[in-house]
Amino acid sequence: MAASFSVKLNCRYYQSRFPQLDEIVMVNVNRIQDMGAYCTLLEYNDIEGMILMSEVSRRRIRSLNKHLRVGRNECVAVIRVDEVKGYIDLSKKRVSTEEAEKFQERFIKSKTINQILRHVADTLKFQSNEEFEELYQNTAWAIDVSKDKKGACYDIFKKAAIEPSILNPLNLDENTRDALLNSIRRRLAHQPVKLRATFELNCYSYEGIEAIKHALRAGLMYSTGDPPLQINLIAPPEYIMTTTTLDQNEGVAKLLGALAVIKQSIEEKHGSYNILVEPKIATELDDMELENEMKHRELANREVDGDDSNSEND
Amino acid sequence: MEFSDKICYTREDGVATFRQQLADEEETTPRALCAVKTLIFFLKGSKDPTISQILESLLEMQKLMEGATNSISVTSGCEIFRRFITLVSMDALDAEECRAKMIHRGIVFYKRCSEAQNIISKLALPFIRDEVRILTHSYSRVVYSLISAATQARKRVRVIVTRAEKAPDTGDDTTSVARGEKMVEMLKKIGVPCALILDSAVGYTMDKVDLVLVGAEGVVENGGIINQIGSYQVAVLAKACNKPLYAAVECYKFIRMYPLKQDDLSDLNPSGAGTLEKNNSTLPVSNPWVDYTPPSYISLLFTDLGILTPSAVSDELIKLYS
Repeated sequence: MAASFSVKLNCRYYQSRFPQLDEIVMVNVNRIQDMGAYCTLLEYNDIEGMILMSEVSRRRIRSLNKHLRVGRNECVAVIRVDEVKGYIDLSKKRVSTEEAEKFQERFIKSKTINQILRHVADTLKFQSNEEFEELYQNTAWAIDVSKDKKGACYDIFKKAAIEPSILNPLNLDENTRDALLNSIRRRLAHQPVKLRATFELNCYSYEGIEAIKHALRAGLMYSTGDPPLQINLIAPPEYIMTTTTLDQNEGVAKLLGALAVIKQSIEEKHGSYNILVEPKIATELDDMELENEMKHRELANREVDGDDSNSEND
Repeated sequence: MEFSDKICYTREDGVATFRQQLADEEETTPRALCAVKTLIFFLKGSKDPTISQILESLLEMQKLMEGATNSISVTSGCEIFRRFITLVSMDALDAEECRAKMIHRGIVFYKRCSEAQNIISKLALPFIRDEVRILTHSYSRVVYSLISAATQARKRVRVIVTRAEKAPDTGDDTTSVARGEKMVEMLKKIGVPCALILDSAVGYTMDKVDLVLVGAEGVVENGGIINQIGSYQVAVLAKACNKPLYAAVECYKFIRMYPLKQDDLSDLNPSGAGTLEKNNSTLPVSNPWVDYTPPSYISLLFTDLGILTPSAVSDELIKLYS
């Protein structure tokens, strides 16, 4: 049994064994020698390719370390392939920064697919690379071929997380299908996002703070669905409204609705409403900034005795 | 020999061509240049569609030729050749076009290297005064061409040559005649007064010469030289007698190597090379082919890159290899 776990399944990401000409590939630099740098092609089952020194940079190379470093991943273009003997010439200077960035996306997608399928293979207790390759053939490659685009199956898998029937044309047996769906759901499920809007409320009429309270309550009442709305005070007169949602559009609509209710309510009482930040996704960085801001405001708002500051200066 | 007439398609073919050249052009062409030429022929015949594969087969070819001669200059020559041809900017995607460019550059390299001896003779001529007495060790093409250039410049030169006996059964191409004898023969042909002495008589003779001039198999990174066995002791004696020792050497013999002691050359001296069996040695000490002369014993190096002090060699070497 122990032996079965030691098997490390490997399979290339795409159907073709070798990259095509002009294709951009992700490589890991193995060793750098006088003539060039030897790399492994991560997407093609770690086969070896070489970046010739004259293909590293268009400009004069002052320090090779700035361009290539052993162990680092690089986006490079394939300029020559010998499929019979397995030699591949690569070029770094023929890849522009924009192309590289664009390609990164595809690589990450393909890598995710690989992880999903490897997980499936593990659950189905595959023992050999042939079985793994067959799985690839039946799923990812089949989709890639039908869409005629490498890495196309990422989007299909993503849809399948919500709508499993989309995998039906693949004609998988039940075990594989279930394992695949499980794995897809684990990896590709939608992450809930946090939405946030910032607004100002003022009311200098007779009802004052009561009017504000009333308006905020009305806003909260707008939606009772799950997950609920939340309103927090940053520092008067600023408030934030947050909610978490799986569907961004739905969440934004919800926040906008609640804000409209608040506006209506406060204006009835002759107060003023002002939106500062429209509803948008809040990242962790935003959260941290908000926390700092609140601390800062709290300090600024603290009541200070008029005498205190003077006594120190005397 | 022109480059249009020969193409090698296989490695065996390459090695055979190399041996053929060594035999045919022993007098005129240094071994390193024979090797470079073979690499060019081989490059012409290669049908590989990728540059990486071409480079790999060139390297294999180089290894085969190293094995065939056991000469360090073959290594350094091929090494610099391979660097020189790959550093050309190859914008063409087609391997065929790149290969053509590499061949062209290879021929440029070869031509430049074959000019090296003449350049050295020209640069080093001022160091050979009239009526100078020179001690030289063994046979070297560069030393020979320098001396003949000096005589042509109407300088009266007298040369004392060591016999430079090699250990027997080395399997080398020139074992039949001691290399010093060959040198004397050739110098006589151009009318240079010369004498042959035993290697063991170097100390006795050192007083009677003005300078020592040697060739080299290879120049290492610290400016020391690797040369036929016996050079080291000649250098030590020259130093002891305050005679300058000059090494005349082409730049394609610069090699990336940093020996610290004689033992570091054991790769170049095949195991058990020429043990003198008939003497029934009871200690396993071999008679190697080459030795290493540290830079402190060398006054100047005459190269086609200019007259260099040994310490300047590392600078030039880095330039060559980068």
